Amino acid sequence: MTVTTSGQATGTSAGGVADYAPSAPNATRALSLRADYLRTEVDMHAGEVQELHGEVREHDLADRSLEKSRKSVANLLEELASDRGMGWSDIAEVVGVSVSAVRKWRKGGLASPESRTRLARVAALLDVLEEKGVIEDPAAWMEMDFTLEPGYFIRPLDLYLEGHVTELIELAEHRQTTAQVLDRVRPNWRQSRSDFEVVLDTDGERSIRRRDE
Amino acid sequence: MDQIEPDALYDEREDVSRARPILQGDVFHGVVLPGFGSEPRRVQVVAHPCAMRTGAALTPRITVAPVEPHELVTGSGWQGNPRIMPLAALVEGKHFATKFVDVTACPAELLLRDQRIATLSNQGIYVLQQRLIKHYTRTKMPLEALRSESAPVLTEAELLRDWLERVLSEDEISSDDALDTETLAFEQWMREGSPAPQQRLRIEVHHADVRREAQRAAAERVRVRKV
Repeated sequence: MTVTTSGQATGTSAGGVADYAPSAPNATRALSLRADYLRTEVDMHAGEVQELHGEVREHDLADRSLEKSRKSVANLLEELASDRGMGWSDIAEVVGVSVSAVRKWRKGGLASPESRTRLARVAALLDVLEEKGVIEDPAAWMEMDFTLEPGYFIRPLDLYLEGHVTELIELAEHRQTTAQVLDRVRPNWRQSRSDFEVVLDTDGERSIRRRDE
Repeated sequence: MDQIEPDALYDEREDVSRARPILQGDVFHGVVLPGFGSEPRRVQVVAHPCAMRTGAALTPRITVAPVEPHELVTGSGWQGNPRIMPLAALVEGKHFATKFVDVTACPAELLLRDQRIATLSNQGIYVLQQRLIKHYTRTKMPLEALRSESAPVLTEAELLRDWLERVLSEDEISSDDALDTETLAFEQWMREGSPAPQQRLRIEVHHADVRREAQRAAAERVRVRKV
């Protein structure tokens, strides 16, 4: 084995692999250990940071919801339906009542405190989604099917109804892909793929057809 | 096939808004069906929303099916009865079912707004569609596909009801003529421009925008009618 001095370990000698200073392996090993340690630290903190971020988001949403819930039910409905352009059937689904019940509230009918809270929460979420700056029209985004392969019919609204609010914000912030979020909240989502797809037909209306394999 | 509870199945029972356009799933009473004797019956509209109108007007005949008293359908009964649409607690807590084997064409003028006793929620409409498809083709269609397919036409129906309730007074809503005239005004607005709101409803990304525009247009219509 050829031994070289550190001054020769410049890559210019013809010594090849053996042309390293005796101290180089120790320095590299130390660097490697340092990198291992830092990576472990980062991985550990990443989980904590994500958890903290989630908690902060929940607090933020709760604060905003509380603020919104000071509005009358009629005003909350005005905000959701008129300003945001949310459909009555989606609003009713979010609150868990019939469309006719929501229409009565709009005209001054009494809603339960739970219903008001649910209206306030979705109004707060739409604000958050818009403020993130990625989703221009959050009410429209909520009712669109995710861009997945044909045969999947999953909307952000469906995830909201299942309580996955944090995941929706993650999507809006582009921190995770749709598939990553669905893997987490609906582990069997790939098995839900339908044999059918919806297409725009020749008469200009939508139709359902068996999708091509 | 999917099961649905009465609270989720119906949008309105007994007290049905006259401003809601006639849609698939609506139940009427007191209808004397041609070919079914002289006895007034309850019927349910089974025609798809796209197959019951030409422009704003109803087609001359609309496919309906008789609704008859039926035992409450529960659990696996929803799977085993593809010839019916269960209508639990339809009238005064009593249970009924729509009989698909007796589907027939009903003159549209027999389906009077004042004789409508129930309307279905969107989810209820998807369940009805699912059962009709199963009855006629033995195919099980997922509700999500039906929801996606129906989104433009059901959104338009919702917009029409909003428009009528915003533009017309309570007294006017009780008049068929006023409802028909204002329905035409709405249809005209839906077809104006390029792309027209009706075309834009074909893609969900535009739905919220079209809803906002429809509300502004209805407000403008209120202003114009006052002048």
